[in-house]
Amino acid sequence: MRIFFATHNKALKAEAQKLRHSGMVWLCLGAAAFIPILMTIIGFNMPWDSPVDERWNKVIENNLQAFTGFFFPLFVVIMMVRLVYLEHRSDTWKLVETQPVSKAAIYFAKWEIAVLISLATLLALIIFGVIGGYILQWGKPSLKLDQSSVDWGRIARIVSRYWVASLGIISIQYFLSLLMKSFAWPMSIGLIAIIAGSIFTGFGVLNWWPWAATMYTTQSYDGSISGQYFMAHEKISLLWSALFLWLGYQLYRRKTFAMAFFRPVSNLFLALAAIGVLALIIWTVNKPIQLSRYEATVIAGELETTTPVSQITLLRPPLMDTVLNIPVKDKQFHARVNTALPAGMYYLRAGNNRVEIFMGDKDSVYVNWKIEEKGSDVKIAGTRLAENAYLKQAGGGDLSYLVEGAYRQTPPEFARSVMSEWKDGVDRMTKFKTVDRIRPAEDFIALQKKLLSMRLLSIVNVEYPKVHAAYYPNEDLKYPKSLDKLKADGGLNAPELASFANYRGYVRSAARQQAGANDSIYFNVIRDSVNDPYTRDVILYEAAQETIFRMKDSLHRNQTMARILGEVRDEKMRVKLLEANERANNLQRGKKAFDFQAVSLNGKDMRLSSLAGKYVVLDFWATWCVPCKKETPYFEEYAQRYTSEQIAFVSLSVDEDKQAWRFDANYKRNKRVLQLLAKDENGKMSEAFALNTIPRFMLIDPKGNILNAQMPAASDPEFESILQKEIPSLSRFQ
Amino acid sequence: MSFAIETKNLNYAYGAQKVVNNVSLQVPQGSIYGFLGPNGAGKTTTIRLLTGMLATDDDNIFIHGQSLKKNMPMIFKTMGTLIETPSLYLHLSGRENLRIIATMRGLPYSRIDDALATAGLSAAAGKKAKQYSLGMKQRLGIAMALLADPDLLILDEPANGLDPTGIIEVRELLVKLNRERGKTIFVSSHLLTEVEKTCTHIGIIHHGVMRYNGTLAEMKASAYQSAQVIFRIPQANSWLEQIENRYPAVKHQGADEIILPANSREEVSQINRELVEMNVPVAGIQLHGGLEEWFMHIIDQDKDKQIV
Repeated sequence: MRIFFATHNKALKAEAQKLRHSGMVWLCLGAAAFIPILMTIIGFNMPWDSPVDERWNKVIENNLQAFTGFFFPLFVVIMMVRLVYLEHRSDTWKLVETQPVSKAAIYFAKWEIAVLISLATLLALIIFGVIGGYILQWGKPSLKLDQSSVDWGRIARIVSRYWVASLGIISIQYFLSLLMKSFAWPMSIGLIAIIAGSIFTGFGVLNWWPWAATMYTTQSYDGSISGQYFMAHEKISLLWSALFLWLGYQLYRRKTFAMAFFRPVSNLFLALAAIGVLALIIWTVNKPIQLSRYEATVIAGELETTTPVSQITLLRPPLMDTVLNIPVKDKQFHARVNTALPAGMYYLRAGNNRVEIFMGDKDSVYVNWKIEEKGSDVKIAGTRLAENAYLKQAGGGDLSYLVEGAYRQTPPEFARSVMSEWKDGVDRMTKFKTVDRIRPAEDFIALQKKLLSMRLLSIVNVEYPKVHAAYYPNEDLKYPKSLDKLKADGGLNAPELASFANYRGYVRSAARQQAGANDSIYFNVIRDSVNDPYTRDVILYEAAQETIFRMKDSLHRNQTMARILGEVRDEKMRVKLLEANERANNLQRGKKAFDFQAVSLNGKDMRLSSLAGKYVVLDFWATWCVPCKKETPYFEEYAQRYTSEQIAFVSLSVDEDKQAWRFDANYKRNKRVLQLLAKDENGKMSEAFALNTIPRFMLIDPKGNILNAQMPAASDPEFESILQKEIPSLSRFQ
Repeated sequence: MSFAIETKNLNYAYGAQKVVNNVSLQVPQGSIYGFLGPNGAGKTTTIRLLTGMLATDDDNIFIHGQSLKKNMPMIFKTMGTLIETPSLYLHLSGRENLRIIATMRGLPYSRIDDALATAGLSAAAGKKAKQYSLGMKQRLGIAMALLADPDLLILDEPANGLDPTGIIEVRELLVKLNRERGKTIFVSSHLLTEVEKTCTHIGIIHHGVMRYNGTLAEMKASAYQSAQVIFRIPQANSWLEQIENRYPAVKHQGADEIILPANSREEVSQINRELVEMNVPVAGIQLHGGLEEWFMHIIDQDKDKQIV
């Protein structure tokens, strides 16, 4: 050991001297320059859709990602084979090993040189990337590279991750080169292993394959979401590196494979033990983990807003009862929840912004919440990190396609597609893991399974039988036994899912499918299929809300409401339903319209009452609402056609992203239409107008009274008829 | 007496084949030790063992009385080695090759020019080693072994590939290093004449077994012990009885030849003189045996019949 340290620097210096004229510098520079040259040429020709303030980072990122996919591991293999071959070529091992320098120093010095060359190549790539960026900026000023800057902290981190990912390849190739003493064999093995690695990476499997590590780093470029510096495959690369560095040293020290690992037999056991221990550690590092619950229920996090917020509120859906108010100090918040919190969906509200999170008792959830003009950016960590990540990426893939093509299928065929959908769905839940390899907890998976089975069952029990009856009227519908697996999971009664909007939606749509247009049957089906009183109340409550606002006639509405109030026991809900009924009645013709607040494109504060004296044709829309945008040309055409002092055509956006609205409203929209952005404080306007869906069109008279709160879509010919009928000056067009 | 190299029952086998068998060497300090044996005798394996290139579990090699195994690698400070073909970084120049040795040994680079001059490579110092002739490579190898000015040089076939002048130069260099700077030189060769011309001590190895170990003078003495002289005498039969009286060891061979043992050249002329005095008509004298014969004789023996 003492001799190792005494002679290490000499060995390292000698290694450096050996690199002269070896072509290593050119290999390194060539490898590092190749991709930046390509990327600069591509940069002139490709469309740059990344935001301007991210462009410099993008330049570097493009280089790194293109380089590390295949070239970097290949370079490492070539470099390592070359370094060792320098000694094999005329057996200079016997020269260096008869010098007063420790063998370990010789062995490790060579490894260190390889590791340094790997780092130097990455750094050279960055330098060439920066040069390429300047060339791009000079040749294509429209890129506006000078308006952004490089986030060097981020680059340093990703470069260090790539570097660590290369260490496994370095040590293994070192070992192979020592063992095979040739150029071609370790080279070929490395090349084949890299190709295998790129295939593995493509399929997202075998992330422990050392030659795939850099590619996996590219795949998880943004890194951990749970605050870890290195990803699992990078830690595994380090472990491979350590193991093969040790195995390689044994081989080097004892010269032959047999001497190193078979004689005496204890060496074999030692090597096998080392490999076994490593395999075990790799397995442990790589194993998806499920986080365990915390000792208390805690919500904490940081909140970044443009306007200061003093508290945030934890809400329980669907009624949005306040569970807890949490004070925000210096943009931080932290609170213990002392009431029972069954695992499910909850909301956090800050001002007008809300985020949905999954949590429950004994969870510690950390919310990193940025509210900007263009909307919310939320990162959820803590014990429910994986669950919330799953919900974010899973989305609501609609399964109605199963029914759409179902007329071509016999019941057994249909059952097969349902079961395959079930299997895929379960696979998605059970195999899901975050970049940090964290899996959702079992309770969450059980809930998601139940949701899926419920959705599939409503297709099986309600939707497909209709299709079947229509196409094969003379045949009885008989499902194969395979579907029983789904049915075993129970019917629509699932109180544990009460907080999931899609659960409540499934129950309602299953009931609607059975009831058709008959509201009375609709409510009966809901009442009969959900046993849990609270859950039943909640679903009835939502069904009622949806129904009463559809009704045009207040008498009919009041009757329906009386019928529902007969079913709903929960006092709070009964009160809210009565209020809703009143609001719905208030949207009747002749009632005073809610005097909403808004801001115009030139920043002026407006209200509905500012337009008093004019007929107001309201178009509720948002930049993200595709159906709304389809209506826009029709709406604008009426604005063009019926230009008049007495009529105001108003497009009232409900966007949160002010910039997106300003852009859309400014550049794409017709100037005859007054563009306003609603200031929907505490959702009062949405509530008053029962704005459950958009697009929505409304007509208000010059006194601010409602003429029609539920106009047909602008593309509907009826829309124009209503305008002509209600607005006297337009009657001549009739 | 202290030995520069001493081995005690050195053994090495490649698989089942034993290539070094109980070799005990004793190389006195200040000697030029010729390690002689035909190709494949185990010379290079022995040298690889002496330089720690081959690892064994035994601790039976001593350099200047110190265990090689226990003192590696620092013991190499006192050793310069050249094993088989010279190991050079072919992509580097002669000077750069020497610089690597200087770096690893912590020597001042100023020595490099001297070493190049000693090896006669000053003019080719900047040339890449791959452009060197075999002889230049060999000389560079020797220069690298000499760079640290070590007390002990272990050289494996240093004359290999050199032209006659080169061979003489190396020979003179070794003798000079030994005489003027007191270096112990262990040099292997398969050429008896080479060894005879430079060495003070000789060891002969064959089939992995040491067949001889001693000084050059002792070797010469024992070589002539087995020498025989053939005297060509017409009708030797008629003189045989008379000669037998004087030399009982005489043997008759064919019609016209007799054979007598002779231990030295002086003895041959003495016998000749006496035969002439006896009026024996000596028609010719042929020396049969000597160093070469003796060497061939030694390496032809079966393993169990060792001389020494």
